Formats: sequence, C-alpha cells, structure tokens
Amino acid sequence: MSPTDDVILEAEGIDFSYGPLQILFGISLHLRRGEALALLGTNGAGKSTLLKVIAALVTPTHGHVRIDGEDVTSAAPGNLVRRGLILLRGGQGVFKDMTVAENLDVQGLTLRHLKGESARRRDRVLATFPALGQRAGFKAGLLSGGEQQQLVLAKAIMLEPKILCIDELSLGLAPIVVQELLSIVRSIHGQGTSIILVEQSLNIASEVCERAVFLEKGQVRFEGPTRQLLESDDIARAVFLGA
Amino acid sequence: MNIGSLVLGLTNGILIGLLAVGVVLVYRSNRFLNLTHAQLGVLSVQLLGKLVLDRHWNWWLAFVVCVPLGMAIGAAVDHFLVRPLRERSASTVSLLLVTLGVSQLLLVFTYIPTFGASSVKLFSVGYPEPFHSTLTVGGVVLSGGNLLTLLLVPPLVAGLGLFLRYSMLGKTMRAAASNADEARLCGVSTRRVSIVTWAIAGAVSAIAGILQAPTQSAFNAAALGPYLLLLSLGAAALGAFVSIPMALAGGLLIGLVDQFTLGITSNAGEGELAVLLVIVAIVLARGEAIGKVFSAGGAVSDDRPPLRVPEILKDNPVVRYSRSVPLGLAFGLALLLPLIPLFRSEAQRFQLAEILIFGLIAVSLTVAIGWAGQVSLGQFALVGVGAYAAGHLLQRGWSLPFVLLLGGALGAGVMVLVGLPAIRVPGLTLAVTTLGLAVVAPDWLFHQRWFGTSSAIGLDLKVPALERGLGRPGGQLTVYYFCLAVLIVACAAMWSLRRSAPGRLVVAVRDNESAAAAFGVTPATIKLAALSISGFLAGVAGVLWADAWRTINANQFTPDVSIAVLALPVIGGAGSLPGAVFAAGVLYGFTFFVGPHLSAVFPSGNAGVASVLLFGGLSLVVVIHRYPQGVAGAVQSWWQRHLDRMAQIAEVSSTFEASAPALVATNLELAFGGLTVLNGTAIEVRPGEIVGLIGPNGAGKTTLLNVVSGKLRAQSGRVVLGGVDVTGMEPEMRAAYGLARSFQDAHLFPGLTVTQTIQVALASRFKVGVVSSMLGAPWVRSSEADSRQEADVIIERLGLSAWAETLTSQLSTGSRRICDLAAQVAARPKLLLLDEPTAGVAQREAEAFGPLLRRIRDELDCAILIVEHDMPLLMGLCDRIYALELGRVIAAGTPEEVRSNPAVIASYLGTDEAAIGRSGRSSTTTATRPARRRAATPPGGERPLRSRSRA
Repeated sequence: MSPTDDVILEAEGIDFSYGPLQILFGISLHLRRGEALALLGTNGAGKSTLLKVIAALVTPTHGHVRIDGEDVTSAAPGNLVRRGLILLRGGQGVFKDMTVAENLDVQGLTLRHLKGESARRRDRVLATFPALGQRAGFKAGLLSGGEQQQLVLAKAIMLEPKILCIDELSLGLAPIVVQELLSIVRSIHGQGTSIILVEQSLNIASEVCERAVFLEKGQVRFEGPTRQLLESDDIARAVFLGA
Repeated sequence: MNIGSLVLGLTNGILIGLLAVGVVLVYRSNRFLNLTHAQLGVLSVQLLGKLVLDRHWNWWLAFVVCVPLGMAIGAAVDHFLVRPLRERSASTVSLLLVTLGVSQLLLVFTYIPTFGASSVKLFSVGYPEPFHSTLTVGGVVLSGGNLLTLLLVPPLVAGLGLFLRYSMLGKTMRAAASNADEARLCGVSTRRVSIVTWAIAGAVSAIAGILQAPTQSAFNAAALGPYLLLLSLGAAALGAFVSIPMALAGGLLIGLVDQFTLGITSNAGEGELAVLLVIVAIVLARGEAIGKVFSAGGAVSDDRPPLRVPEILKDNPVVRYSRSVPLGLAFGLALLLPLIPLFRSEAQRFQLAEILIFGLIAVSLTVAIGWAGQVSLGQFALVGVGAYAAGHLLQRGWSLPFVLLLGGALGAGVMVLVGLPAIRVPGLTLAVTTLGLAVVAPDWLFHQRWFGTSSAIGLDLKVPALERGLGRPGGQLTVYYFCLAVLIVACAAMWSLRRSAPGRLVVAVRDNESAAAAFGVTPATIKLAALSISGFLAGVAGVLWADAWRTINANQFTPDVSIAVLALPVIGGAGSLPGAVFAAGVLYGFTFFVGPHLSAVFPSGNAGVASVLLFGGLSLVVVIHRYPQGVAGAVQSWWQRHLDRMAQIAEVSSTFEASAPALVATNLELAFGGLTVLNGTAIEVRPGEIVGLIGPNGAGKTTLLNVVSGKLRAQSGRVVLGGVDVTGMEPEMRAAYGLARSFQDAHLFPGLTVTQTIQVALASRFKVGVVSSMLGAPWVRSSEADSRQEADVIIERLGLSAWAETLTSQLSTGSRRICDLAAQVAARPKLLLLDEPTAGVAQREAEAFGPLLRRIRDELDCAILIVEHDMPLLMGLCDRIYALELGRVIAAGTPEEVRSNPAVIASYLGTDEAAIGRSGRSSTTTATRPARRRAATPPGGERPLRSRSRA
C-alpha cells in the first residue's frame, strides 16, 4: 500500500497559547490518506499541544484544522471521533477507576446509534488482546503500564479510526513492551489508517513513519522523509540532546 | 436501645446518607467539596411547606413540583456559577468558596416570608407529612415521613448506584470524573455530565430536606442548612468523599448515634455533640484515604504577585507614599468617624465598633484561609467562646486587657482542639470539623453551666460595664476606640509576622507540604500554629464583642454567621490584611446602614443576618468570578499597570531618537463596515518638517490623523514615532512619545482662563499628587510657580498676552485655535498634528497662522502634519504635501509638484483658480469638487473671500 496524495488531515497556521504563554506559532502540516507521519521535537516543543488542537480538546487562537477539506477547528471532540479521528494518549488514556470492559464501553459511546455494535466490537477487541480479555473485570488502574497502554490501543482499534493520532506510545515502557505495541501500530497502519505519531524516540518513529515533521519552540523546523532526518546530523542531535 | 429508636435512627441515617451521596457525586465529578449541597434543596423544602400548609395542595403533588425545583437549582448553580470557574481551572479553595457564596444566597430565601409557610401554621401544625401514620414499632410512632423515608430512600440510592454502574449515562459520568479529557475524546460532553450530576445532587438535597424537615423539633429552615451540611459532609468523609456505599453507611452510623444519644439525654445539643464526636472520629480514621483523594486536586489557593516598582520611579513621591498615605487616611477616617454628626448616637457608634470587630474577625480568617490555606467554617463560634469567657470573667472584676489575652488564648485552644484531627492530612478537612464546632457551640457549649449559662431557656446573660481595666467609664465611644486600638495592634502584628520566618513557613506548608517537610519543617505543627493565631484573634474579637454588646446570647453565634464572615477574606483578596479589613468595613457598613432599609423584604428581626448573607453571598460570587484575587488583587494590578505606564513615560524622553523620522506610517488599512477609509496609506514626516495633507472630503485625512494619534486603531499597518513603534499604544502613551494634536473644533475648557488652560497642558510635566497639593506640600508650591512661569512664556510667544486672564469661552474662534495650539505646544511635542486649524476662522486671524506655525517649528524643532483646504496657506507653509484620495496617497512632493499633478487637479483642486486661490468672489460656476468646509460662509457666498498675497 502506498500513500496516495490526497490530504485527509490538514492543520493551517495554528497559534495556541496557555494564558499569556504562547506554545504554537503558526504551525501548518498535512497528513495524506494512508500515510504515517512522525511528529518529532524536543520537550516542550508543542507536539502534544498540537495533537490536542487537532483532536479539538483545545481551541487554537488562530488557524484551522480540516478533515477531508472540512473545517473542524471548533467542533466538539466527539464529533471528530465520529469522523474517524482518534487521539491516543500514552499514560493518560484510560479511566483508572473503571473496569477494562467499562473503559471500552465508554469508548463505544459514539457507536450508540448502531444497536449492539459497541458490545460486539468490545468483545472482538478483548479477544484480540488476550491479556485484556482475562482482566476485563479489573479496574484499569490496577493493570501494569504495558497493559494499560494495550488498553489504550485497544480502545483506539475498537473504533476502526481513519486517522489515529498517537501521543507518546513508548513513554516509560520496557523495550519488549514497546516492540509489541509497535507491531500493533504497524498492523493498524497496514489496514489503511493514517497515523500521526508523536515520539521522543527518533528510532521508534522511523520504524513506523515514512515522513516526519520536526517541531522546535512551537514552530516547524524540518519536514521531509524520516530517513533524511536521521541523516541530518544537527536535527537528529537536537532531538536526542534537546539542543 | 430499643427497636423503635433503632428504626428512627435508621430513618434519619438513611436521609443523611442520601445527602452524603449527593456530596460524593459532586466531589467525584468536580473534585471539590460542595458546601452548598444541603442548601440546594432548602428552597424546595420551604416551598413544599407553603404549598401544603398555606395553599392546601396535596402533599404528593407538591412533592412532584418541589423535587424538580431542586434539580433545576442544582443544574443552574453548575451552569452559571461553577462551570465557568472550573473551566478557568480555578483553585479548589475558590470553587469551595463560590459554593459557599451560593449557599448564602440560597439561605437568603429562607428569610423572605413569601417563600415559606406562615410561621403560625408551622408552629401549630408542624411541617407537613406525606400521610398520617400511627404505625408503632417498639413503642415509637413512625410518622408518615419516616415511613416514606424507609420505603423510598433505599430503592432510590440503590437505583442511583445501579444507574451509575450500568447505564451509559452513568458510565460516562464516572468516566468524566475519572479522566475528563479522555472522556471528551470518547465523545462525552463533560458539560452535560456535570449538569446532570448537579441536577441529581439538587434532587437528592430536596428529597432529603423535605423528608427531614418534620423531624426537626422546631422547624427553622435557616438553621437546617448548616446542620444538614455538617451531617452530610461527615457521612461523606467516611467514604473519603468518593465512595457512595460508604457515604450511605456513614449516614446510617451518624443517624444511629444521634438517636442513641437522644434516647439517653433527650437534649438536642448533646445529640449534636455526639454527632460531632463521631464525625471527628471518622475524619481521624479515614484521614489517610481523604488525604490521598485531596492530593489529586489542584492548587489550593493563589497569591498575588509582589508589586514591582520600576527602578526609575523609586524616588517618585507618589510611589514612595503610595502605602503610607492611604493607610494614614484610613486611620484618620477611623479616628474621626464616630465624631461626625451622622454617627453620634450610641446605637450608631455601637455599630461602628461592631464593624471594627468584624474587621478583626476578617484578619483572623485571612491568617487561616489566605496564609495557611485552611478553610474554617466555625470562626464565629470562636468569637462566641471569647465572648462567653469575657462575660464570666469581667463580671468577676477582671481587667479588660487581661481578659482580652485570656479570651484569645481560649479561642486559640478551641481552634487547636477542633483543628487537630483535620490538619494531619492535606486538604480541606478542617472545613468539616470547624463546621461541627459552628453547629455544636451555640446549641450545646453555650448552654453548659460551666461555660455559658443554663439560665431559663439558657440563652441570656447580662454583662455589667466593662471599663474596669481602663479605669474610667464611658459609652460606646470608648468601646469603639478600644476596638480600633486592638485592630491596629493585631494588623501590625500580623503584618510583621507575615514578613518574618514563621509567615514564610506557613505559606510554604500551604503550597507544598511534602517539599516543606523535606526541608525539616513539620507541616502539622506549622498549620496548628497558624490556626491557633487565627483562633486567638477570633477569641479576642469575642471579648470585644461582649464589651460592645453587653448582652450575650447563643443566637448571636449561629452557624450561618460563621459562614457569612467567610466572605470577608475572599472579598478582601488572597491574604491581604488591609483588603480583609476594607471588606469588613464595606460589607458590614452596608449591612448596618443600608440593610435596615430592606426591612420591606425581610421581616424586621432578621434583616441583619439576611442582608449580610445577601451582600456577602453576592459579593463572594461576583468577586471570585471577576476578581479572583479580591479587592486587594484588583487594586494592586491597577496600581501595577499605572506604575508600568509611569515608568514607560519616564523612560521615553531618553529613548527618543533625534535623527529618526518624526512619523512613519506604513500600509495602513482601515474600513468601517464595508467602507474602506484607509487603503494602504503610507506617509512619512521628517524631523522639523511641515507636511500638508490634502484631499477631497472622505479621502481619509482626519481618519489618518486619528490613527496616528491613536484615537482609532488601523486594522493593519504600523505607526512609528521617532523610531518607536507605537502601533499598539494608547493615545496617552503616544503623547509621551512626543505627539500632540489639535481638533477640528477646539473646545478647550470653557471654564478656565488661557493661562490655566496652558497650565493644564503643562500638568504632565509638572506632576503633583492630589493629596500632596491639598496638603500644600512645599514641592507643590515651587512646581506651581514653575508651571506658571512657563505658561507665561508660551502665551507671550504666541501673542496671547492680552487674553491671558480671559476665559477661553470668551475668545474668538481664531484666538481659541491659537490658545489650543499654545496648549499643544506646552507639551513640547516632536510632532504636532493639526486638523484644519483655519476652518471657521476669520480671514485676518487665519492669515496669522502661517508665520505662527513656522515659528513653532523653528523654536521647538517640531515637525508638523497639517490637514487643510486652504491651498495658499499650505503652499506658503509646507515643505512637502501628500494628496489623498479614497484612502490612498495619489501624489506626494513639494507644493509645486503636487499643485501641478494631474491626478490631484482631477480629483481635488479642479481648474478654477478662483476656488483654489480663494481670491475674488465665490463663484457659482465652480464645477469641480474642491472641498469647501467653510461652514461660516453664508449660502450664496456674498461674503468676500480672502485674498492671499502668498499664493
């Protein structure tokens, strides 16, 4: 499968501030249908904030977000979910006080109009992730970090997203767990889902993504093939050393 | 305990549990203690009583109407008051206090007779029951209300639990409580969830209140609120404020204990005491769990940033005396207030003294809330403790100052006792135990023979004159000054405390207990110390209270007053002592001197409390929403802005670049609605240059001047004055950068003479404070002489000497223009904007303008940008001219170049030399479009137009 050229998601001239503190300065990027895009940058470069803007968790001060050419800048987050955009947040994407099954039930909220669909998909996902299936009645907060991350991925898969935004998949996880999760992400991508992956680790990003956007201090500093970014010493160093 | 009272206890306990479940619901979804929870239903309770007793409605029908009312109130409180704050991520203390404000406002309704049943009927018949019942269990008659409680509430709570556990809405409510952002990403509308939560809480509160009301021995809606709140908070504490089953269990426990105690003593006060002890035990036992839940909350409270005084203003007298002068004035006012005729009666002086006492209470609360971050809901009970102690001791002839110290120590002791179980854990548990004190003290403690009095109904205590310690008798005036002295000493002591090591520790512990502990500080000790100081001050206030009142009565110290005074430190602002005292002055001044006029709304006996609740609640809600840092914060940020601006102005003169162009305006765009007025306009004025601006009416000349002067903002483009970009600056800032302008119609100040007008214009250079000039300070007099001298020079230079002492309203139009010009010149501008200075001016006077403007330019080295239609004047005066049409520059250059530019001729000048030169007679054959703005020219143009040799 090769990324086609039509743009499924577009962010244009995004400015965002927390009170007096401006985080994003006129960021523009696009995601093609079926593409996997890495969003890289140092700590505090604004990657997670940009994903929050894209998922409509926060509203930008300037700029627009479009899905399939339609402006969704100030839509409710739930509307974006219905349009097939899912934001997956590593480490904070579960309801810790609720059971695994209940987590998936709430995730299926946007499927309410299809009778029984939510429950069917929940059971299918639980079958796909046997570790979760065994703990369906456990509170999510009691799961290990890797299992919680699996739950986060399971929640995303359950809605069969068209666009999947992943924030810090590998945060605080053992390499073996990361490897497992990566293969899941790759298979999601293989089924035609477009992906934006925010990562601290350049290697993990280049594993999955063909193209990368590099942010620094709230601005786009590099855009191009991930391979080129790996070869470009100064930027790679900036990613690793936070220079 | 027999089976009958067991059932009664269970009934009561179930109701308390139901309320606690409501508290838990809101806590889980919003993460703060909803102190208005019990009051959400108070209005429903009252309304049901009225509908059934007065209007003879069927109980069930009234029930069906009143419960949705509770829901609506709950939803409205969330939607209008809580959610806006939450979305601004306000601190947990702000949220808790805003609910306190709401509860005060809701309590106000209980004082308005129209909203409740007639008190006569309530007294004779009692609060209505759903049905009559004579069912006897174990020797106890179960009323209809009891039976309904037993039948209705358990299924209700179970249903609520099932709803939360299994329904989709319930699941989304739990999801939103657990992780709000993630819930939104799943498509949950957190606003809707929050409203539903609050509506359920409102319904629960209404049901519990309605079923509880008949069991109160004497139905008192106002007292019901705080007591029910205490019970529900205590029960919720068992579940660490998050567990619904545990909250219900807590309710049952408290209900049973209450019933058990009543069975032994049949004294309501002792029942309350037992309940308080149970709640304290619960808080002690569950401290760790509660602490864990609380630590998940946000910041406790926010402080004002310290005032930054810019270096350049350090020696400015206005800045140096900015603290001492207002404080001195306030002190002077406080000294004189009881002496002015308005306040000379004993009753009014008594009220003034009381305001000071409330000021002291406000200070004590500032220490607890503002500095230590601990919310005390029982401060007025501590005042009562001090007052009763004083009552006993003074009767035995002890000296007042000594009693003051003892009363303070007693207040501190009680506060520590009540605070001890709560301060071990982070969070706001103190609110629960101090609320217990607020309820128990007036109902139990003050009726004990060993502490208060048990005389007759146990309410009254006479105190003789108290001036023994001071040596001489006196009326309320002595009391007033004594209170004032104590307040000042207390403020001074607290002020220096805050600035020393202990004060810093208190704040450090409030902000981060574990970090403070890591530095070797014991958080509990520090918190206890802060609380004991707060309690000491409250106790002292109590002694003063006894001194002022001479009659002490348990009804003076009811819990709603404790709740009402909490507004003071919040309105005053984040830990500010002057702010808190100011708030007390305003709030209680208003209550005492304006409140009585509200007796039309509130029955006479209650107007006092009701208006405190009303004003306090309103200001609490408004202040938290609009000025999160209170009056002090608002004043400080205003003063900070003022200082910054003063500093900027002071620095301007040194940064002005002589070589930079006086004005560069680039690419200005401005449209009013669809009408484009400026369309990429760009002009430049070099230092010392006189530049003319011509163009047909509506070309945008005046608009351009307005944009340069800052009166209007362009939608894009930049304005640079002397190398400084002033695009975003206010007009007065631009003036500081050397800009002055005259207006088309020079109004000036009709009531001032020419000299005075010039002095007004000079004011910015000879700055003198209002206060210092009233006091006739020496620097005022010298600066007055300087400004007068300078004004005289300007007046002479501009040839206005003959009119120096004439009122500007009596000048001719031309002289008034020159006076206006003189005023502009006084500011020594670098760039002077003139808008049609000769319009409407007699010819002779107009002719004088050219030489005058040149002289101004030469002497002040001041660039001039002038809008005129008088071409001969411009031709002789200007170095360069810009011609504008439809907001665009169509020609620029020397006067001759512009004069012969075809575009200018076509759009503006026309070909009629007569109209251009304005020599000879006005011609009706003029077919061109020259703008003729001479309003003074009579129609028909019979008046001879000027002849100009210069052209």
